[in-house]
Amino acid sequence: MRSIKNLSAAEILQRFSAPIILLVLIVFNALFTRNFLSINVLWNAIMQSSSIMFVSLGMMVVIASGGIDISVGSTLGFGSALLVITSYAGGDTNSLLAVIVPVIGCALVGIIQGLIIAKFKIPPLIVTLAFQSLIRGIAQYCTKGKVLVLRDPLLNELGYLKVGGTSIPIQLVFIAIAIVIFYILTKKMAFGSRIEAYGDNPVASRIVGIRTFQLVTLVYMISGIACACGSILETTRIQAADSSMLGLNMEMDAIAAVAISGTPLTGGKIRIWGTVVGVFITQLITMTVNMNNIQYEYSLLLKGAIIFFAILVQKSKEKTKKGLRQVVQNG
Amino acid sequence: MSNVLEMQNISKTFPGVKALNNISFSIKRGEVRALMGENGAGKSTLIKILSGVYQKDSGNIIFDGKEIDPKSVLESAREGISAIYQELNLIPYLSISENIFAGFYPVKNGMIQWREMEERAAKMFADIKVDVDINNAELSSMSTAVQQMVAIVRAINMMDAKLIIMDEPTSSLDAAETKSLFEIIRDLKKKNISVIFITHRLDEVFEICDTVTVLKDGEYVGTRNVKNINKYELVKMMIGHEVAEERKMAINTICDSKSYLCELRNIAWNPKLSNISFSIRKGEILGLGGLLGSGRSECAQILFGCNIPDSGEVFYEGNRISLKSPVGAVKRKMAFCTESRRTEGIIPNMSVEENICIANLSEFSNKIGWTKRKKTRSETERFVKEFSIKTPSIKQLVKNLSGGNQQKVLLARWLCMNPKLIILDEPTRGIDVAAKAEIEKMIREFAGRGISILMISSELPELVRNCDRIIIIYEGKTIKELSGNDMSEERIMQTITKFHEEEQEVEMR
Amino acid sequence: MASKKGLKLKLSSFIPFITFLMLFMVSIIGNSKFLTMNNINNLVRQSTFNGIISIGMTLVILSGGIDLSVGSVLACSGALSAILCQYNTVLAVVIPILFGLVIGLFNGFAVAKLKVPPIVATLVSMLAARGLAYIFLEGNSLGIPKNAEMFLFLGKGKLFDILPFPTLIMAILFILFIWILKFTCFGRNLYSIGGNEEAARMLGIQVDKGKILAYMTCGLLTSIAGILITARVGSALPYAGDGYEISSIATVVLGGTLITGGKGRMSGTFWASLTMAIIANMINMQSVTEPWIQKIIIGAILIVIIVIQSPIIRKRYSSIAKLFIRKHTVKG
Repeated sequence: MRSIKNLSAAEILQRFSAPIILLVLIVFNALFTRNFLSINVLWNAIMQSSSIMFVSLGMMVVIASGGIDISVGSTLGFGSALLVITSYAGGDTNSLLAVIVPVIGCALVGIIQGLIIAKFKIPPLIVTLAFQSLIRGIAQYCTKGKVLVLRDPLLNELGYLKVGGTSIPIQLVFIAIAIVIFYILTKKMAFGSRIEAYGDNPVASRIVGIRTFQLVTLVYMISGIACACGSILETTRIQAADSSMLGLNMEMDAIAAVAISGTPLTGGKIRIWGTVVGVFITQLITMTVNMNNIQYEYSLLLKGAIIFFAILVQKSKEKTKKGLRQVVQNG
Repeated sequence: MSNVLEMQNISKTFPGVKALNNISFSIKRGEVRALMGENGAGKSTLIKILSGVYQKDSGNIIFDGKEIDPKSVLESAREGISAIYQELNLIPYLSISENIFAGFYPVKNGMIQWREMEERAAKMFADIKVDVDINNAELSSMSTAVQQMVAIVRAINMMDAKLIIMDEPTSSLDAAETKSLFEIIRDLKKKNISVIFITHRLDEVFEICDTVTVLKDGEYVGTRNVKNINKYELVKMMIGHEVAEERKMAINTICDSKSYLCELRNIAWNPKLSNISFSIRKGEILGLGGLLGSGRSECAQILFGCNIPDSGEVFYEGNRISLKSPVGAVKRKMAFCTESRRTEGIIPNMSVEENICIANLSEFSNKIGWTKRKKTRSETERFVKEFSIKTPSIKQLVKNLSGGNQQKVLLARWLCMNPKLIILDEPTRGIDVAAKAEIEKMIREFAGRGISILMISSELPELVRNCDRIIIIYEGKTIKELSGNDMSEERIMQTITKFHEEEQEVEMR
Repeated sequence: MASKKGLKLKLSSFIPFITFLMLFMVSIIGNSKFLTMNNINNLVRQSTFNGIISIGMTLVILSGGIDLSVGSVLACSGALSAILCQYNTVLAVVIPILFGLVIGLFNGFAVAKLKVPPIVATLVSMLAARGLAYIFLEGNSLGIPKNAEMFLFLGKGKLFDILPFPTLIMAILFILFIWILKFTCFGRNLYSIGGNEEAARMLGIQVDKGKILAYMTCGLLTSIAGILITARVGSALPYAGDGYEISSIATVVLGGTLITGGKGRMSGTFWASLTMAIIANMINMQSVTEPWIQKIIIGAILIVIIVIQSPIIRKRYSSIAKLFIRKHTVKG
């Protein structure tokens, strides 16, 4: 029995696995979680997912280029620390400065990682693993391990700003802006094509004249800036900088989101809508767990399982296509 | 049974290409058989079938008296066939003695006996008369020559090989090392171990081999005793035709331009090139001819900035240039269709449209980098139509196209950026006859528009048909330029063999 | 022609020892309190648990993989041992060890048979184990009852009044695994698997089995460390082991093992674990224990060592990539 679109059940599952999971989660919550369908809960959820959305979009770009960045959580903490510390410095243009400094700082973190990866050809996993530790340490050093409270009234207000007279949180606007910017960057601009080409076939990309060194550096810089934006939103929302805990394990969420999206983990096509769905799924998991008084740790288990199965699905897709190909070498 | 190997009617087909067609021959024990043929002839496929990497489609392999059909390299090794490739299957960070014994460690009471291992390794290496540290130095720190010897020693002693396949073993060896290798091969003969020796170097065939088998276009041409054949006949077997082909040529490709686009002067690049000099005129089709491994692809790579030469100069449009990467080449409107289109050419998981536009993205995007979709689409459709690229849609992933269409996509990609020079390395390899003709026509059309073409091909008829001039390269040196009526297969083959003989005479003095 | 035996060992294998020696000297000179009994005790204690884990990590990295789950497995094993030692000390040791083996089996199976990249597979088990640790402990720390003397001895006990039991275990394990890596087929095969996996397969080496065993051993050793640390501290914490994966990777790499595998010595890991302990000790001496300085230093050390190793790694791939070298591997 074939479905309408002439695809077998397995193929439907493969292609639409992400939206299906999302649907399942929504239905589950609608049925079992109290107050799930209330508007406040929705707004809360949006506010809490703004930072992970930015980070995941940045991660998506890095993974599409064939790399990975597991320092994003630490960079988030670092940006947060920079923001609050700058805001303490006092002065007229201070609020603006407090937003600019994290962006520059996190961008630098990304650039340095990108340079090391591009110049020394070291596996990105190792470089970003080292930076994960290094940057977290620096962040903690900046705040001397303490949780610093954000005292700037302007920035504090930003965290709870609503659109117009409605109760729509401003974070939704930022999420929308992030998606639009990344969409344009990756789908409408030449830059996106170059990333996808490099992730798919780096040798051919070099031959067609793509500046691969710059590309790699840029990609990690983008991840850094995305973390900076995420850190600004997160810090203004919780109105404090917790350099030790902020962003902890966030890289897992981001990787999970990208894995779900269908963007190949070895590099290639960028799937932005898939990543957005992936972010929602990971956030929903966190929410499901929180709101039903299940322990936080189960969410970790679930997320781990999801990443794992997403990989297996990707691999099975690759295998069915590979069987039809055979490389003709020179005879 | 005096034959260690009998190949009976071996055939192998890949999608779209018949790699081997009914190949039959046999090899005696202790015989050193050269296996020769140009790119696409089927040598590589044949030895991959013998060593278990590929499986034959039909035919029989009788090895050491019994029929075999190895499904993996391990299986064929266990039967007694050992293959020694250029990318040697050795463990880089282990010592020589450990490399020999890896997987076969001498064990007593659960403990590896290092002393015994090192002593046995020393004995095996003693025959070779090479002075290296076999116990404390990493294999990767040794020369390719030594590494090959280790592979051979391992094959004889640990794998009990009865047939050793050597794939271009001398390509990274100097004269002294080659001599040592030949000593080892003579030793193998004494031990009744047979060798299949793949090479493109004529003198080696006549020096160390007993017999030579030639393949061409997947067909078996013949086997000769080296005593009964001379070099010219051998070359003719490999690349010649019975009937000299007429020079079919479109009228508009005769290039009488006097202006030069680019020039290579005294280029040397270790280890492949020692003295390359040639120039390309505007709008001409220049062919690089020569035997396999003579260094033609390396010339192209240097021109395009993939490699930096050790000495010599490159000129482009009158100026001296020294490219550090292909970025500079592309900026100067050079194009390069590499030899391996599947691994270095196409971007497999991207669409036809994306593949075609990728080299010229800056043209397809406005100042801020926004891609003009309408333009990419219309340009792609134009090329698909012009080049008759067979694809269900421009969004089809390139990896799903046939070889010929993939090559057309690559050509479209480069044409897209209005190149001044297109370098083509084996542009019609692995492509069916119809598509081949189309592509050759396209190439001549490009030249007609004033684009210079550098064509590297192992198919002499293709060169003769399409080129205005042909430069012949022999072992890293440019040796002759042919043009006009001088360009024919016979002349090319004669030039190669004549130069080869002259070299030999010089050496003997 | 004859092999040059004897004292001519490669210079590079001495580097971890020399590094340790140098830092040791610097510490003695720079710190008057360095050679006190108390401090040496601290030093030794600090190096023990990282050392045990690093043994396992060395095996995994040699085989060409990586294991990010060690910190979580440490916590989870500790949790299990704390829970079980209320009932039976033997169970409190056996069950966590089995747990470590199972996680190792999962990791190895995913990497070898399912061809999942090691980072993903061990990331998943890292999350899973961390989650389980919290679940088992219900989010709180769990103390070891005072009457579980046998169990507590594992952590706090001292032989001959000076040698802490965990340190004895570490020493035994190091000696054992130095021997395993030198004299057993399992050990030597790891070098082949990590050095050139394809070649190893061609030689008939059971690559999958080797990898799985490496991960299982790492899980085993980590769980042992988890039991010992819980006994030492006197309680199991759900967030225990945080950062241990980076420390052990840094230790292994500092000890001269190539991050891409195929080359390295267990003795190097030993000296490196002592070196890391000295570094931690040096930091502690300066000020109140600040966890972040350690993070910074470990991160920095890792980067420096990797950058130094990069030309060696690049040479390995130079024959394969004709036009451009790119090894953007996501560790596997």
